[in-house]
Amino acid sequence: MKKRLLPLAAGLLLAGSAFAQLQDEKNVTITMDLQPILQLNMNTSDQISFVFDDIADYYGGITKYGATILTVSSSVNWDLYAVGTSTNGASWDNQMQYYTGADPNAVSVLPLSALELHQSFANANSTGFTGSFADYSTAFAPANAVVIGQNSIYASNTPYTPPTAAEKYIQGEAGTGAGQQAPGGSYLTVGSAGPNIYYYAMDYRILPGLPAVFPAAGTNAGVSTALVSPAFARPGVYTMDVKYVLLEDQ
Amino acid sequence: MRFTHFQTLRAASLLPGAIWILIFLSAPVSSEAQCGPPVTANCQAIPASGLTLSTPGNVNFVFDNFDKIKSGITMGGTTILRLNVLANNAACKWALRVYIDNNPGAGTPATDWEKLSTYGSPIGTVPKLNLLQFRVYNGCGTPISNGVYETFAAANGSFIDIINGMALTPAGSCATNVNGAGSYLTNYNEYTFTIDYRLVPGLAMTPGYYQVGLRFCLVEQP
Repeated sequence: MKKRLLPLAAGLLLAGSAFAQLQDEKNVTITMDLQPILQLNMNTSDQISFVFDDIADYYGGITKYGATILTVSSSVNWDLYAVGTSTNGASWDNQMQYYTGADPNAVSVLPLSALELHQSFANANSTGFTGSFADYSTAFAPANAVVIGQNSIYASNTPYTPPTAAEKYIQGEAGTGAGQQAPGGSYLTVGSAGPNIYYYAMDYRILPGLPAVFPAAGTNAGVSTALVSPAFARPGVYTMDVKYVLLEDQ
Repeated sequence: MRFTHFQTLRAASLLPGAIWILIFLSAPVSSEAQCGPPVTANCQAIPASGLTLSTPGNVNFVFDNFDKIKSGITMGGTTILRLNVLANNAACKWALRVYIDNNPGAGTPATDWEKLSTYGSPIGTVPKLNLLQFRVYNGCGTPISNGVYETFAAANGSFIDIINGMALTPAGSCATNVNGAGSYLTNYNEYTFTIDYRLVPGLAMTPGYYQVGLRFCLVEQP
């Protein structure tokens, strides 16, 4: 019996000596909550007015250069698009008419595509694009040689549904495949070399023409949406909403 | 035949003792595997001596805007450690070391932070363990790298020595690497350690919720 207890006692003694030495530990847990960041800043005015009060404005249109400056900072892959919208998502909202004559050719249903955009840097990530114009980077065509739909804004009554591959994106493309999104980054950290895909100066143009049919208005397939003569735009006040939507490519 | 039976009994009687030794020796080792065990007993053990964490055991970095992600977040004085080491004899000497732990048992790659959840589409880089910057200091500047930001090697179990056990530097000298018997109660500037953390993830990281553990180990040194 003594022989059986001896190893047990030795074990207890050894264990006791292990605990009698200085050894202590404290733990700290560090957590990192890395939230997706998508920041689109617009430091310019959110109201842009086009006043057509001269015959030259009708013929030559009015262009607002650099009226909107957009800057992007993102920690994820992203797409950026512009969408024109209104009550019905197809035509300008007619707020006021300057005369109420019965002329059947004076119409107040003006296509949203009459608004043209021009972006300062081209879309570098439009792989898989199927329309006629990938972005708004082409300069406005002269008033006497318009290219139908080339700079017409994408219009929709569901502005937060991303455009299809047939529509224009400022940056990125429909889908999540290679070359269909811009990488994370910021206008603050991109150097001056090469195009800055995180910074956009946006120009606007409305070209009514005379009669006022908006000859440059069209779909992104190049199909005209201009008023059909003898119809023309009824004088009045019209408004529409332009949304710039920055979204994660997912 | 009788001799054989005796040998069998003897072997059986040895077994409980061996098990007891293994249990008692392995219990502290398994729970604090990276800390010890020490091989001498010149210092008094817990609870006479010990390491006190006087700040919360959870440090949470929330990166919810671009400025924080790009420029980082510094959490100053987030962890404060206080030591109390009583001697059994004049040779009492200790070391303080911190290990990084990414819970490899959960399948975490050895170089990465443990990923608890991912936000959105998982594109980008999972943070590496060397992302965490760590700075320790006290009033006397006793840490080996006092007041200097350091990073862990990107490997689970890598460590940083705050105080090492090379040579005995007694309390009261207010010098680098004080590691003799003493207490924060009597030598506050030598036995209190304040720790800052800093994370600068940048824009290339995959958004998500990540975690690492730090194990601060106070172990007697021979």
